[in-house]
Amino acid sequence: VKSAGRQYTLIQTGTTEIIMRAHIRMQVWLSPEMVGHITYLSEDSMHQKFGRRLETREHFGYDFETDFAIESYLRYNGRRFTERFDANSFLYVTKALDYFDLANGYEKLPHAFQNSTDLTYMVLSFTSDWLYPAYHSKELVSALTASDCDVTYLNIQSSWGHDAFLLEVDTMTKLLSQFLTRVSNQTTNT
Amino acid sequence: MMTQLLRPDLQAVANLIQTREKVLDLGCGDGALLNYLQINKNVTARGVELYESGVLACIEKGLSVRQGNLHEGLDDYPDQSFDAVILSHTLPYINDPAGTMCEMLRVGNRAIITFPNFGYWRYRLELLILGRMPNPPELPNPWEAGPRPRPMTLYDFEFLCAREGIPINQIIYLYHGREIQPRWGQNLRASAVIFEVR
Repeated sequence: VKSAGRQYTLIQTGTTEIIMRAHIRMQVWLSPEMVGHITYLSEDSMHQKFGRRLETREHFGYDFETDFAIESYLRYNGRRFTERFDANSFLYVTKALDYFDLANGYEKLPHAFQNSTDLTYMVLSFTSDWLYPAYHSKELVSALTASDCDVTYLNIQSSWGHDAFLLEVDTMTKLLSQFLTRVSNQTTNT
Repeated sequence: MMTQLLRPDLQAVANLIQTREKVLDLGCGDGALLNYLQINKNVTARGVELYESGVLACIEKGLSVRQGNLHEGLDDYPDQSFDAVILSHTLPYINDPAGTMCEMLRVGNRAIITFPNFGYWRYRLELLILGRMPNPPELPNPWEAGPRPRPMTLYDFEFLCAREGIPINQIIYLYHGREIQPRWGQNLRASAVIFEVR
């Protein structure tokens, strides 16, 4: 589980700098579940929530016990994660995610949409999400545009990282309802 | 459908669009023009807008809009996928206006470009008499705030089109948003212009 978690997380994190940092930290104290949890947050949201607050001690030390508030938070959530989820489901789901390739069987990504150009699309991403970064969404939007599809796209300003999809509910509800209203009007008009 | 009132300069652009055409508006802002065209001229409307507030307003109006800059907005579209591509008061901010116009004409059959005319007599006098750079209302930010516009005149644009071999189909002269038909001194009398090129 740990190796899968490690692999999964490292694949998702993207930038080499973060991978390097994750490597160094993991050797010291970070479990894969904790790395997994970090990918749901953003630097901003972590800083707002925890800053550099120390948890129980008053001075820095080098015994690698829980130091910062963020560490105890991640430890707690990492433990909760293993209690709430079956390790096997985690393995299979992440593997399936790895195998998913929209362009599979097509020469290029736009060709994947050639039989569905009459549909109306909406793509949303979040500015601070580095688990599903905006440039991936933009790639999708580019492919849809190149296929002459009707696509609406917005990169929603948010500091919550990947968690934004759970927290920016008001914005998403508004956007989705307006979009669905439009689509249903189109359907009734034609 | 109820006819909505449109800002006069946008109305002048709207008059250049025929019923049921396919239109792309680059930098569509809050989508007022596209919304008008969709309701009154039954066009297939697509918008590209950089700012989140604009995109949100467009989606609220039920428009198809993409967030992105001009290059993201143009590069992806297939050749000749629109009847008209509109660029309102954005040209002075573009680094490569000639290249952008070529792209607009690759994507669309014709391009409609609006910009404030720094050759307008009052703008000339402002610099001459007051010694300060004129600030056309179409370009909201003063020189020290926001992206830097490049001041240009009607003649400048005509020269650019001639050099690049872009044929000008028609020019509409605006005086503070209203359409005027001056027989002489267009470069002095128009505070903004609309060019239709193809």
